[in-house]
Amino acid sequence: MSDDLLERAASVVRDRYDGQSKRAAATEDRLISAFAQTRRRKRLPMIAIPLVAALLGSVAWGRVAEKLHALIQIWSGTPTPSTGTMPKHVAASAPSIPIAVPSAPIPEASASSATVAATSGRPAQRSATIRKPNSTSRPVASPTPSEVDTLYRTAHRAQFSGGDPSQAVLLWDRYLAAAPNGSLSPEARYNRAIALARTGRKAEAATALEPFARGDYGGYRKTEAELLLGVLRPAAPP
Amino acid sequence: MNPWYLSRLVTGELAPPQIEPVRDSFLVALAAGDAQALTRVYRDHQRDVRAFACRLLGDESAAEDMVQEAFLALPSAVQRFRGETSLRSFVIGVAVNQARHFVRAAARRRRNVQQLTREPTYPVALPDERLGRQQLGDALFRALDELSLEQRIAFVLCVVEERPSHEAAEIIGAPAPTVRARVQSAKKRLRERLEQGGFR
Repeated sequence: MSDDLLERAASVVRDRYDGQSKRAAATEDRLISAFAQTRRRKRLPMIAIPLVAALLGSVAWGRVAEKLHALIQIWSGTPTPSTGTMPKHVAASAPSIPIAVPSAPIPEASASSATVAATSGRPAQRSATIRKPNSTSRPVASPTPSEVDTLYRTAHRAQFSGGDPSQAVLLWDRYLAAAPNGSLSPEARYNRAIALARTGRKAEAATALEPFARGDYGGYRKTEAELLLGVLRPAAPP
Repeated sequence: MNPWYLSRLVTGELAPPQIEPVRDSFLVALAAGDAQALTRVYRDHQRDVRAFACRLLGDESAAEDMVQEAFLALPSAVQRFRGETSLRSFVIGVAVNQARHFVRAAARRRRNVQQLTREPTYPVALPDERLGRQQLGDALFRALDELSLEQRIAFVLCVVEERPSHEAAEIIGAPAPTVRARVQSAKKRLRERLEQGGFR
């Protein structure tokens, strides 16, 4: 028994494979192609992860900012930029051109019936039955969409840019009378409640916030309403 | 880390290993994932890596796959390259690290072919020298399939490729005495299997 046999066998293998291959070029092509794919796969998370992180961060910050905004509205009474509280669809649809506040006085009966509708949060049919016809009031039963839109913007402007919460309450009432079941009515009711709180009518504000805290509008403004009710209740009369 | 080595490091008797940055701009480009640098290193070293892969696996198709995988892993592996060995040895070392899966696959394929063709495991060497050499090579690969991966790699590097044990040790990343011991064990086992197969 000697190493000769192994040497011969090793020599056979050494001679059989010298490293030359007709497939070398094809392997090179495959290698470069696979390498490019690997690099693309590695780059994807490098791009996607920061984007997702930024998105999540902005969403989280948006929620915190909304809550802060609600608290600041109550405590400071300072007008704050309205985009924080406006729903996104409102902000997107609102034109930037200024709109004049309608100069017509708000009729007593119309305003009071609108107040009932707005405070109760009940649908339009119910508020329509409460409303009494008044010859001096301007008909609001069938306002055009552009009028409703104008009312909303006017009320919004009065609350967040005008710095006059009592005027804002009246304007919100007018809007809610015109469109008690409009797509923006939950936001209008919430803003009205905030305006009430800022005018010092905390009991009314608390009543207006209750449907939100109860979840009558789903999760919309529920957390904020609960927070605000916690602040308003001690001040509200029993 | 070895406690002895660690204690010497703490007491200052041994200097910590110097990790030298790769200064060669070509290697920097390779480490950064430059396709041209990869192409260049492939063209420079593919023949050595392919020869090693074929000699280790005994299967040219599997060897091509192994070559591709080795070079694909090179850009990330080269970040550990400190210039202590030649780049050629380093590249083959990367191929060694990719070998386990390919060795198993090649051995499995060889067994399947053997069962299909119903050839005897160790055919008797025929008088014709050329045919006898071919049979001896095939028998060696079948015998290699019975070794551990470590013994197989050590045998191919030291005996088939005739590398000195210190170079094989650098490629494998094991001490030279360990590599020599693996080669001796492999030789003994292979000799027995070949002689059982009727080769003298």
